[in-house]
Amino acid sequence: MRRLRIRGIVKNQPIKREQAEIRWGAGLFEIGAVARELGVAPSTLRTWERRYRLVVPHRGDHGQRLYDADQIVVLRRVLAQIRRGARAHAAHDVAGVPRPVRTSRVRLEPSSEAPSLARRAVDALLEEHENARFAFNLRLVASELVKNAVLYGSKREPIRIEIQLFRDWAELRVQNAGGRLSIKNLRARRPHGEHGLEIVDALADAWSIDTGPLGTKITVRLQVQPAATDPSTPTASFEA
Amino acid sequence: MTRDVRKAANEDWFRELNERLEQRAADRVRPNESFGIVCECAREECTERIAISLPDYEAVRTSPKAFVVVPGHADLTLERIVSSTDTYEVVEKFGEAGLVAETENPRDREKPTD
Repeated sequence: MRRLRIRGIVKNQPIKREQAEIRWGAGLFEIGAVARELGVAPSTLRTWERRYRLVVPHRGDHGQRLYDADQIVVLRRVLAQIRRGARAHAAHDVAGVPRPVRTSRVRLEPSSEAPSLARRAVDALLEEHENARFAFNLRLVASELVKNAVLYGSKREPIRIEIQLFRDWAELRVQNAGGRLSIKNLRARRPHGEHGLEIVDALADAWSIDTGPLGTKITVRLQVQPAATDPSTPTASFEA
Repeated sequence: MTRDVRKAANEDWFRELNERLEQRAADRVRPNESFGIVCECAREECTERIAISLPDYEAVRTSPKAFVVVPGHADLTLERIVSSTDTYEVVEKFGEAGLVAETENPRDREKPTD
């Protein structure tokens, strides 16, 4: 097989295990060490930094570039894409999309039990998350959205929940079949925010609703708030 | 974390949520109209709504140990009822729960530190 050499990287080449020698938590690494570990020229890393701004290293006392472990992980992802044949800019686009630490998908029957099952699904995903307030808020948002789905969605089709946990935030999607959900009508009928979306709006960093004749999908993003204001820190637990 | 601290934490997080709900309501509700808050009781699964006017809500928030709960939701091991209406009761925390409520008062965190 003919191999293409672009900026010092051999395409279609599997990543060697021994290249993954950079130790986690060992601090910061100079560009030469990182380039050696990744099998690229230091100039390649500098060019990527200038062109794509995806990995911008820290600077040492003398202005030298220093990479942390997370940045090296992103660079590995870029290289993996290039070795699969992607162009450098496309590889950076793909590598720059954050990946969830954990994902959970659950289907719930639209019953009165569904909100508490949604809470349990959140707990199962978070395990013993260090930030109990974040867990509390995520459980609350999940149960309110599922409550909505039970009230206003199809009484036969299941409710689908997807929760993705990232390092600093979580993304929750609740989808139900049924007719279009009208926010205006909901507000008019329940002026004191009993439809749960007020809670979602108050707690979420961002949320969106996609509603149509076939159903409704609500996506919510919740940021992990600083644990300094969390009264349970550092001994958070999930008691029943 | 003790069970009491856990309960107190739940109430504090509901209070934080209500502070946000109040901020949103302040833009669209007239002073004497009521807006919706969530019951600030210790039970995490309780999300019962309470209609309260902005001045009444503000009056409760003058005390960092005061919380608004649905009638019958007060946990008398953590708090005592200090006033009540048809739709809600105002409770005041004592003991460990009172300390947590004071420490975690979101209005204290908003004050400038200089």
